[in-house]
Amino acid sequence: MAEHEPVIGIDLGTTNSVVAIVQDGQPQVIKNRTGQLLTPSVVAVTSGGKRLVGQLAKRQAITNPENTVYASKRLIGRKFSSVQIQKAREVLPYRLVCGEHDDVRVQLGDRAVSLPEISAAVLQELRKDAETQLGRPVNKAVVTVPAYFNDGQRQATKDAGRIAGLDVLRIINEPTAAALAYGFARTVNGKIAVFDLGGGTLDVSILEVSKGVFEVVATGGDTYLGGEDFDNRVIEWLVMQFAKEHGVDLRKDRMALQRLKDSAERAKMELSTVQETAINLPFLYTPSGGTSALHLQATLSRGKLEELTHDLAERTVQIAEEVMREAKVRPPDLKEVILVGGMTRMPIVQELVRRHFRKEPSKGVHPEEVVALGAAIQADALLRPDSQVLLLDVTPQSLGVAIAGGYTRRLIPRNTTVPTAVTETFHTSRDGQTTVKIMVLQGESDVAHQNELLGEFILSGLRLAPRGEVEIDVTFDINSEGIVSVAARDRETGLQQSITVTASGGLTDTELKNILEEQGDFLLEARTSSEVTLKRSALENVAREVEALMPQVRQLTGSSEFGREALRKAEGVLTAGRAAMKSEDLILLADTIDQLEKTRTLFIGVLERLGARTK
Amino acid sequence: MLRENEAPGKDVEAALAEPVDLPADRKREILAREEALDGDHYAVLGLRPGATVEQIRAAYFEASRVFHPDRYYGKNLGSYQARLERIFKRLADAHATLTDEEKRAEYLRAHPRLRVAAAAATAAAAPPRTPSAAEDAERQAERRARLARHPYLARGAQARKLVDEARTQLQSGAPERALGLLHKANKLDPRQTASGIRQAAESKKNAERAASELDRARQAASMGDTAAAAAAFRSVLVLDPTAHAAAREGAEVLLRAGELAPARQLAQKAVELQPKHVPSLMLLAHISQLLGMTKVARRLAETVLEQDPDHAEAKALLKKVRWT
Repeated sequence: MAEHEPVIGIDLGTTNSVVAIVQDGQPQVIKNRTGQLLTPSVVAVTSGGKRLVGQLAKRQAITNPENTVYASKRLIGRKFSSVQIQKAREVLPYRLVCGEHDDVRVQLGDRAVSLPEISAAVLQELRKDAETQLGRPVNKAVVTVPAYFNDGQRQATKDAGRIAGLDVLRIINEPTAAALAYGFARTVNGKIAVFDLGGGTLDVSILEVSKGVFEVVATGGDTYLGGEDFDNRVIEWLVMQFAKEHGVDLRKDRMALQRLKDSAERAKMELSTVQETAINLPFLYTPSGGTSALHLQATLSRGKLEELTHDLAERTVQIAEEVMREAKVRPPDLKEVILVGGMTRMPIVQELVRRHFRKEPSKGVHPEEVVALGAAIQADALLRPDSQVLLLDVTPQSLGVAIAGGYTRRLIPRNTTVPTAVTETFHTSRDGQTTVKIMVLQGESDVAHQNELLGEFILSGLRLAPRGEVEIDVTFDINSEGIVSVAARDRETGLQQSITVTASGGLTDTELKNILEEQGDFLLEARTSSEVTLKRSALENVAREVEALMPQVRQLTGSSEFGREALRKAEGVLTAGRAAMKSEDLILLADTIDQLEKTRTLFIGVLERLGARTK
Repeated sequence: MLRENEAPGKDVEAALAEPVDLPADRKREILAREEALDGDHYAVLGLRPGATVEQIRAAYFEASRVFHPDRYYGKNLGSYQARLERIFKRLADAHATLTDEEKRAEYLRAHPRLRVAAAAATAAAAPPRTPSAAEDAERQAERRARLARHPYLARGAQARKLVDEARTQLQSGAPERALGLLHKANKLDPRQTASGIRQAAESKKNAERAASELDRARQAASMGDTAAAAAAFRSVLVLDPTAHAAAREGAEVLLRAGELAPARQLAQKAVELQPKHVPSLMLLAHISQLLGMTKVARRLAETVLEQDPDHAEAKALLKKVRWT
């Protein structure tokens, strides 16, 4: 395996996504087909039923807010009944509906689309971009998620990869990926902190690096704290201003809200470099009853923005503090502090980080590209036998079992290096208990029901005995792929039961299969049609060249038997070429191009030999 | 999940002969390390008891390079997959235990033989020293600093800081910011009410808002929008119940618009606020007269004349109402 098949790294972000690959030992970002490094994580369905992804989808968001899905990463893998989703329903312009298993769906046109499908559309787009750039099919990827994603969210992200036709080799944490990318080009030895504030999430990780081995020491964060929250503060402020001036609540107007969202985000970004910016939204609201349209004009200063968002910024460093405490790391122990995510461009965030870590944050990485680069590096490290990079990753959340009284007994605390296995002995809790139920929990709460239930099973046939007499060994095992399995064994009888936990991403296996089948057809079609277009234009080009050469060749060789023969053949090929132009058969197209190219080579050769070509 | 029970192939020959994607010496290395798993945490890492944390870390990273399953991703490993996982889990466990002070102490307590060996090794490496007075002081300072960082105390300190900041904000004329900070401080530490500053800030804030409302009211009045003006004048009075000017001007506006009853209410308020203010008294007198409350109007006119016996308007009004 001299040149292994291409494996891409994907940063599937809340607002933007990036794809990267390691080529000739160098990680690099792959530009999308519009020439941008960032592809907006936006998916839309037009009134004509056409699916749009990325920049195209984002551009039409204003006029089609109800069918344009953004920030779907905040919803993926969550339960419809959860607080976060109910809160999100109030502010999102697109409609969320409940799926069959309390999962979240987005109503787009007449279809309720699952979130993995939405993410899959973005992944597919990135995959196509990579294929276009590399000129080879791409089937494998490493995808990043926020460190704080739980099993369900990770599984849903994996499902998205499958729908997009990608074999997701690994799901790795965004800050870890950032550290990989940072450490890749440099010789760093020691502890580094990664502070990743993106569009929707905050992640903080502490890593220890030693000659290419990256050990994650601790990681933590908040899946509901990011740039969008800062934007929302600006939106609220604008809405209040407008209400004061005109007595109109803009939040009820979805189109106005979308425009506010765009300009709030833009204003926030501009204020990272300037002190004051103007927000002008002409014709923002047209009151009913024929009165003239209302315009929004406001000036936002950096100071005001900081005032509006000060508590959010404060919270980010408080979370960082918690993670440090957990890792038993003090600021002076850190070699480097790396800032990741577009939000870390905000001066107040940088200032707070500087003050808190007592260190000038490293500016050596591009905050928006670094995560995708790290994913590509991990992908490369997995497949390349001589790689120097090794990542020792950890469990993002604690794993345990529910015990009597409704409490949790943690067996694998979070931030434990994987693969890992732990066995602990439990006793029966009631007299004459012959069965035990093992409920596998994920989360940090001591109260069982506040954690997430990953799976459950029953071990029966225990000996009739007073409580506490029967002993059961419970073993938790996480393998290097991150798959969790749990076994319970009766010490006396050796009876054993076990499960492999496959957290559901909200889709059942059958559903996933159906989607894959539907999608499979669609994919095949999409790719063929784009390839046909490519081939057709290639055919047209070479045919035109041959036609252009024809008169010269006729003039020089038309008198000889060889020349007439060659010309007749060439004309035949050209006719065939014109016929093939209408075909969709890729093989026929390729053959015809081949023949025309041969003819062209022949013609050029003849002309050169006869010295007629003046070039 | 039966991995734990799959005894490692004792037959080394058979394991070496297994057709997997590993060179023979790597196979031997793996099998040898697997044998060592029966030993203690130090032995697993290939170290002697008493090794330093740095040595433990270095050994763990070095061993990870060889034994982490990811190093062989996608290869056909046969029984070696399970062997590698088993080795790495032990390595990680040994590393986690020995690099954490508490866990290491507990582990050594449970393994007295190792403790003796470890103590002997560290004693040989560095003779124990009695901490000097300077070190003692240093440690005390550190303990105090740690105490200050304790969440509970830190919160109190943070809250106090916020209150201080609120005070400066108030002094520099930003009462709203001050109130925001005080609110935050109170949330951090409920004992921190700072009621003095809060009251000062609130009244200042209300005064500021009242002033801006008054401007708005006057503007509306000048543009002839009586309803808006009256509402604004009233809200000034809510914000600042002593705003005499708002009451009087509001009453004037309403009077001009012919809304006598509400006008009288505001005029009454103006008089209550400044019982000797002549224009207010006159205003209330006029309104009362227009409403047919002649007795009241007369009494008011008389009050005016007590203050200013030559007040022509009052005299005229008195003349008008005297005989009715």
